Amino acid sequence: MDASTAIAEQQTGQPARRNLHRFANPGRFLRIAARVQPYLTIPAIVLTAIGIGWGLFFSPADYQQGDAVRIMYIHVPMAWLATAGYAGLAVASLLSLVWRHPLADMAAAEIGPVGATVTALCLATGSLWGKPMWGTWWVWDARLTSVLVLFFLYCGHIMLIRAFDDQERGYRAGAILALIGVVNLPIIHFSVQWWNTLHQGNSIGLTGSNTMSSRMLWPLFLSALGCTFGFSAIVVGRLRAAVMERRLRGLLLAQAERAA
Amino acid sequence: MINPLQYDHLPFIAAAYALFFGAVLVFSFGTRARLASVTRRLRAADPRARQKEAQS
Repeated sequence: MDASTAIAEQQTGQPARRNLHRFANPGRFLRIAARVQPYLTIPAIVLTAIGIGWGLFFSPADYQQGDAVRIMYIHVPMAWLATAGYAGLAVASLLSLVWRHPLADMAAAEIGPVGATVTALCLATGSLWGKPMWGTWWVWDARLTSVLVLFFLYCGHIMLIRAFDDQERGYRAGAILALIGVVNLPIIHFSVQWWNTLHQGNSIGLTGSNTMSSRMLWPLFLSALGCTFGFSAIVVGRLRAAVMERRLRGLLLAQAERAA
Repeated sequence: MINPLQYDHLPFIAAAYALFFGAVLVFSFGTRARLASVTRRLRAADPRARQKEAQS
């Protein structure tokens, strides 16, 4: 047991194995993250390449939508990651507000821009799919509008954490906004059931209620899995950079104080 | 194997994939560049790291 783990046990009275703060040591985090990074990056490249390659070159066209259905192999993974990324942002915000986990604030700050980008990609690819199929780029139906609200929530979080001179206050305000925004996640998921929408209903269900051919389902699954690994790899890489930037700021500040 | 040039609605499919791969490239190379830059600056600012490098 190293010194930081022993101190954490003394402070909390809990065994270190159950103590989230043992991962808060920046040096330890950097060591673990550097080791984990290739295990996220390599599957991301391989699975996404197989999924998208299969979807573009080998899976059949849809009997109604023709080849436009191939946009699905990136649109659905982006939609999944937009909501899953926000759930991750909310968990990081909860860890920050309740347990004051030192890395949680930084994790939330680094998830935000990646999540906002995948949500924008979900909206843009959906629009590019909608134009040839629906005859319009956009409709204000419940699914599209709730995803647009999700995009605004991500943007609001990014701006709010940078809106205060005191960074801690910014992180706290951002965490509160992120937790309030969680109410939008079930609205997005159930929007196609609760309201009449132009957006189609769910084609994939966890209870085996799939209405999609396995020749489309497999490439979609691989693409979604690969994109999930890619999202995680980018967030872990950004978080490593953020931890090192904080360490650098501390070092430069200490040097400036010694020089003064 | 299907020839993508024969897709119907090809411009829409091409635009969607171009956006996706554009974002992937920006984020992967952006993150790599950010990591490389902060690692270099940290080595320059941290006397212990410089000492370790000199010893090795």
